[in-house]
Amino acid sequence: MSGKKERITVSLDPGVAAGLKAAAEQAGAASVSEYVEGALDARMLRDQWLARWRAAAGDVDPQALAYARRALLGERAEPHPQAS
Amino acid sequence: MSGRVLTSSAIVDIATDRSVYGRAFLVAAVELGMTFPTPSTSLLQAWAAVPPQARALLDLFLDAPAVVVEDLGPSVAGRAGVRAHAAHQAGRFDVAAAHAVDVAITRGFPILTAEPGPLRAIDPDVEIEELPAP
Repeated sequence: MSGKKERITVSLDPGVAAGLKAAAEQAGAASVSEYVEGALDARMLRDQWLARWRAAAGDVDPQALAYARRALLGERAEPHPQAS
Repeated sequence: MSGRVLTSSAIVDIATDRSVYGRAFLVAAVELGMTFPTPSTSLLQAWAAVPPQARALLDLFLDAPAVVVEDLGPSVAGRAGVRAHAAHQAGRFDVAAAHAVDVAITRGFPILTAEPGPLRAIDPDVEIEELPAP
């Protein structure tokens, strides 16, 4: 990432702000800014790839997606018979 | 960080839409920030298996933030090969399956596959998540 930084101001719910500071500390980030920058960069990378995938392959079957999310999170999941 | 190790059958599923579940797992993994370690040998099998019109999606699959290709270096080859000796003696040896089992054990992840047989031949106890049938 670029060494030159731009300061921006965001408004957060107090609970989210407290959680953010704790998460940055737990992750060993040098600062909250460093933690936020890393998290946003990863999120934007994910969103950009998802948009490219949807443009190329179309939308994923919603029932299959719900099944996959539950399975990946270790929750009990049964494939939906109507997923097509 | 959690995830699943992909086999060639899972990759082919994703690239060709053989069932709706392969792509669902990939998209869900990206959304959830999970990792899909992909053995290079599984990738080779998938490139050989998919029809030409699916190759662009295979390229896009490789760009997914979840996908991390695991190469087959000499230390992995030795470890995975020794583990697969019994399967080889029984005539049930598959290079990519042996590689996937090693990645799964090293990472502590289950394997996502449409074809569990070759994996079970290497290690009957390896954790497998089977893609639902199309």
